[in-house]
Amino acid sequence: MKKNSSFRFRVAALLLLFFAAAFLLPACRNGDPGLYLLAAAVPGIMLFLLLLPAGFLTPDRPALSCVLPLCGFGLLATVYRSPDETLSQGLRCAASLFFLFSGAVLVRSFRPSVPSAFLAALCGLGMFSCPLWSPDLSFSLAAGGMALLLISAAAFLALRLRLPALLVVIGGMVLLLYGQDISGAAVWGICFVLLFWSASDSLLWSGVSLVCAGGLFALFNGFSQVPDGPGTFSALSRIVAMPLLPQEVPPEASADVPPDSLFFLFGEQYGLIFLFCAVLLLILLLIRGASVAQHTRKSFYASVALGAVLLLGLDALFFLYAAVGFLPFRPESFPFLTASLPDLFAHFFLLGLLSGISSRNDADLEEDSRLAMLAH
Amino acid sequence: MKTTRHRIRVIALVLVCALFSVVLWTARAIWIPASGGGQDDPSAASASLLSDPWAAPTPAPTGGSAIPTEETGWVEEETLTPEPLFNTFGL
Repeated sequence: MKKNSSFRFRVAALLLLFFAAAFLLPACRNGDPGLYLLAAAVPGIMLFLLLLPAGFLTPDRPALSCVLPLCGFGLLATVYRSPDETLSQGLRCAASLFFLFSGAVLVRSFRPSVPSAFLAALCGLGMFSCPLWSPDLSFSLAAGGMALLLISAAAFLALRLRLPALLVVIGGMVLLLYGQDISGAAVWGICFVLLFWSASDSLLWSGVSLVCAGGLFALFNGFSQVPDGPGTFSALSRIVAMPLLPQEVPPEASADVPPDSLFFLFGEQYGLIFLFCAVLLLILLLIRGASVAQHTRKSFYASVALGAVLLLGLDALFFLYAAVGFLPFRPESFPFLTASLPDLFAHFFLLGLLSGISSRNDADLEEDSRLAMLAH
Repeated sequence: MKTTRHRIRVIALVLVCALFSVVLWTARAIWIPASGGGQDDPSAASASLLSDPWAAPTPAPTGGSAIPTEETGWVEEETLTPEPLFNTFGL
């Protein structure tokens, strides 16, 4: 136990020193006071979150240890190009922490019942249908809607009401396909089919969900809406041209980069090794999420945790596969390494769900040890 | 719940392998051009075609016998160095 804690302490200390230095270097070069502020604030907030005492609202430390460096990488992506953009990204990450705690509180206090599941479904479907009510909306609430629909579907599955769960999923897919969010519909469809397979006792319902998802795609001509073919939005040449190690001089901004593509900006500035570390951190987060899902005692929590892992993992998978040209979609956003505020909120909300379930698992273990002591 | 735990493990494993696969593919895409093993150069492709003894020869020039070579496919007889391969084809 002592060895473990000293190892974790060293890793945390290294992390904090790295980010302090990473912001101090451009601060000394630029002389921008905002960067000096970030050099103090980023390690400070990381230290604060990692040292929070265990309790109801504590984020899951292993998961947080994976996410905080990812957010730090997102800040570093624009630190040389545009310190103002870095400050804005810092404020976005700070605001997203509210959703981390909200997710933890919501999942701990949520009791699966028909009215609560129905309410969550209504909110989620409402977020999906925002582009239909206001076509001029410049951002998408699909990621947040998926998180709420996940809670609703998990609640229905926990109550063994498979048909309402299926209807919730179908409703979500219809709205996404109608709003021409093909990649979102694909992520949601795959996520739910796998969720149904893991939570359902019979293969029949898994098959039904698969047929429904595929049928909806065919009905809305989802396959024909895919533009041209694989590789249309491939950024493989950009990735191949990235340096291996961090560069001193900021690279020229590419005109064809989507404005919120921090993943590519980070890779071009800090190199492929750091980019690989970012992907590895996400993989470690997914493994931690799966471990939390496995150790939970209630099927509702298992479904929510697995759904959170799937939504984050499939988002990353679709992003990377689209970036290398395997999929004919535009790479949207890599989890936690995005400048899109609604996506960042949704990702932190999913992390909050995982943290809440992890703290619930710890509470169950403590209850068990207390009962074992009483028995003796 | 036991079945659910097992299925969660399987799903997580497949997801992690899929993510690693794209990392390996990208590493391969970076490694192969860097090591100069590209097959995309058209001049390299045509040079390999001309030096291929099994490649179809160009038509013989009219008048006089001639023997195929690597550059033109045919040379004058006085510069001939008989090649059993081409004799086999009766050229």
